[in-house]
Amino acid sequence: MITGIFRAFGRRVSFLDKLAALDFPLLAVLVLITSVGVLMLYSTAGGSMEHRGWAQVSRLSIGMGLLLLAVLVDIKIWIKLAYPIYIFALGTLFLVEFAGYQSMGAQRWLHIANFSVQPSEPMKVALVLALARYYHDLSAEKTVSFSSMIFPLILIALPVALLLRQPDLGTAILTMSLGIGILFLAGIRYRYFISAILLGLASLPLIWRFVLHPYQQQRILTFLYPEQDPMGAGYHILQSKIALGSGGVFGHGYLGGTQNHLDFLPEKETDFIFTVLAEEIGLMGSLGLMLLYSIALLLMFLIAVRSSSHFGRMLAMGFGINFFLHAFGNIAMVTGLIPVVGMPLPLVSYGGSAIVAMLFGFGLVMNVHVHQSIGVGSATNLDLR
Amino acid sequence: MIGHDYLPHPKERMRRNILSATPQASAARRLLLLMIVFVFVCGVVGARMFDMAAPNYQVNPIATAQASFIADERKRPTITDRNGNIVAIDIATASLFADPAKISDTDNTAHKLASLLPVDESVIKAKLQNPNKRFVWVARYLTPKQQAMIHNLGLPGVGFKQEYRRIYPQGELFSHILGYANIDNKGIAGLEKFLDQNPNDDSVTLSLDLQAQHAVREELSAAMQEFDAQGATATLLDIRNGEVVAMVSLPDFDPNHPMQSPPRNRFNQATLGVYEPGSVAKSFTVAMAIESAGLKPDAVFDASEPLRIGKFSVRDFHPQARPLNIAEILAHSSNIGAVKLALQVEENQHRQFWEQLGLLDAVGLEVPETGKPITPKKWGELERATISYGYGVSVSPLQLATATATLVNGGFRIAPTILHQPHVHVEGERVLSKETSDTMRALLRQAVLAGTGQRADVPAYPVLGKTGTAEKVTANGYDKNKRRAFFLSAFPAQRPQYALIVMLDEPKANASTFGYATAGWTAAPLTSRIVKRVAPLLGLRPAEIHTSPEQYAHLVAQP
Repeated sequence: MITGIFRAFGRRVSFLDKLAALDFPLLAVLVLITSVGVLMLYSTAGGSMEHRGWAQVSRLSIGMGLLLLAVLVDIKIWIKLAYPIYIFALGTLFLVEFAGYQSMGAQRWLHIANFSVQPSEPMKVALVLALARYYHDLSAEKTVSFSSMIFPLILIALPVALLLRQPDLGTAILTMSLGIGILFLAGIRYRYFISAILLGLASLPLIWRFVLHPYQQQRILTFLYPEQDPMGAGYHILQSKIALGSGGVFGHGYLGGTQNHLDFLPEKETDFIFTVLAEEIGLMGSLGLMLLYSIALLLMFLIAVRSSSHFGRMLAMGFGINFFLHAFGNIAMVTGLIPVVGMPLPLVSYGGSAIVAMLFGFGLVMNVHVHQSIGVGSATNLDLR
Repeated sequence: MIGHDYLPHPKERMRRNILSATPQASAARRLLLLMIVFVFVCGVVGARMFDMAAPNYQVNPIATAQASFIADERKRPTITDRNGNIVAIDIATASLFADPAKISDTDNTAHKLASLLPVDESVIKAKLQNPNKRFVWVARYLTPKQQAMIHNLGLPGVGFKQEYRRIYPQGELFSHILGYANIDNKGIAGLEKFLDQNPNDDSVTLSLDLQAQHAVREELSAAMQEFDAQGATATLLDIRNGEVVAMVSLPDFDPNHPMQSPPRNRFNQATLGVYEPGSVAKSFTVAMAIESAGLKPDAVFDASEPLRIGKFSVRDFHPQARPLNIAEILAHSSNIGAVKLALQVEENQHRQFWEQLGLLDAVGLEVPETGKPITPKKWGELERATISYGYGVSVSPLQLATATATLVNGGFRIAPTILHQPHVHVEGERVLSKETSDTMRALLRQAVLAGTGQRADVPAYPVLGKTGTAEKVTANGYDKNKRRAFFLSAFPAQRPQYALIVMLDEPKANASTFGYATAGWTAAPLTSRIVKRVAPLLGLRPAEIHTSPEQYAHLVAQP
């Protein structure tokens, strides 16, 4: 019964075959990045694993388990499960409205047994899956038609609307960017793309006036003029700027960051963990982490290019986009290039939901690689019509 | 229909092109485009990190702490008197500035600042609303308390800048010597201006003595009041090395607030003003007659008749109507005698002698405000005649002081200075022989003991000197009722160390002067009072024996 799940058309593919076909370079990069995260959490706790280190390691273990599961389950199963997973994720997001509890002024969390889960993280994975499935089913000629865009736009709009209600502007923007990125990848016409961007720009004043909460307006103002309120809303970004400047090229040395250990840095375990790294191991360390991210991204890109199925390509690059948005979005935020919005540094920041969801996503990407390598992921084999 | 090529409709052709592009090829293109975007973003983020980690990356200093202090390097040297008393010093204060572009709530900021500063809210608001400026002064030189209270307001867009403010702890006392610095601590006048032009060390030591300066100023001020004079000035000079020990010009001003005084008060009569010195010039004429014409003090000249030179007639103010020897000419201040003495030397010699005494060229001093003497174009008989008794050449009191120093210091020319000198004796150019200088000491002493300068004497500190009363020039020529009273002096008489020139501008007669307003009744007693106070301060020992007229009797051949 269980083996049946892993059975491909025509021949049996064993568990070990798939494991042997794993994208080991990508796996190695993931291990390196997550290790950096654990080391940084060790540092923020003042040189101790007790505070958050072990917790992070256990979450990483769960994430790795899910990653393996994602790799080993047949890609066809994932195609079939794409919509159900989307509906399930949307459901949990909807549940937050009623059963969620608030943290830091926003209702974002769900309690399940002893765990607290942030449903917005699995939602992004589910969105990638659903959109990949939709465009996999769609013929090329239909892809360019306007009417075919309505359904994926609804797929994107539903979670974005729920996220905006929480309110979680950062994740909403991330999710929307992710969806739009996938639409672009799927091959919708440039003219729709450009007109959507223009429309979005034109509606900015309306969004400012009617959609944004005062604190969100304040954040954008603070981004534009952080010096106006250095002790208030501008504090985060100024302190992180100071930390980065203080780190210099080689940093103060691991465990030696002054801003970090003097508790000047806010959110240093989560969204602003990059500043700890930049301060302690300097520009070289920051660029090193960016290099690791870039390698991971490149490997995902290669998987997408090599994939002969539309589903595999959309899935791999969809997660590529998701990963990119998180990694560089977070660094851009911390370095003051974009406004402060809540988004973790992928695989490094302390945070269970994000880590587990991200690793699960990587599992799906590797799944594409594995099934391409062993010849079960070809376009014809995956044609469900 | 065969052979007829089927041409699809353009729209159909486009549709086919799209179809012919496999989904794979299209997606690969898009993938590549995305990667290009990713690489670009990655580059931007990386560049930003480079920028921030660079050593010169600076978080806006105003932002990190609104009340940040911007230190200013510019600092003026501390000035002390010759005994180390501070007379000018920089103190570090905070000044408040604002960056209008960084102020979000102008009303609130102006309101809060106005509550702590003696400035109108509307004035501050106007400054803060200037959109074209990134820097405006809100208030200069705050007190520490004001600074702390403004700091605690935590207002964005305002900051403190450290500024040195020049403080003159002695107020008016050294006003014309020091001059003053403006609000940007730039030297505008006096020594302050000189120091800007001649960068110096961290500290400057004046040759002036605070106590002597104070005594001189007090006596000068009292005399000015007593004789209802327009102005007064005194210059006390060390005749050995040219150090100015005291120099006062009244009225004066407070260098801490120079602009609160009228321009007249900022005029230094001692160095910038040039005046016809009147009869004090006879000292130089007599010295010249002895040095250049080789006359002896007992040489006799007839001063009984007014002297006619061209259309001009020279009369004596204290007519003796008898032949006078040189000592008597000086003691009784005979104009006729002085003219006759002057005409004993050649024209060239006359001019040269005055030049050697430093009376014909502007004197160099460490204050920029020095006056250029007014001298005649040609030295004809008439000019030489008037110059002999102090008209026709205008010089500054400082020049009179340096010339006096030469007369009594053994005959050396000295360069005056207001900076403390390391050596007591400076050998300058010899102008007079030692004998002539000795004779001048005796003759000037005689002028005090038996002449017009009797009221200048001080019992324990014998003074030698000469009076001078010069009519002021007005629009209608010389005004007999408006005079300047001079007294040229040196002390102690037995071995002179200091020269003192005092001048009263338009002194008025009063009961104590029995209706006289001439120098003998005004400037002479003023000299006496100054010497009486200053001599002990300068460490001079009182003379044990009061010198009597008999000591000098051999110089004066009685007829």
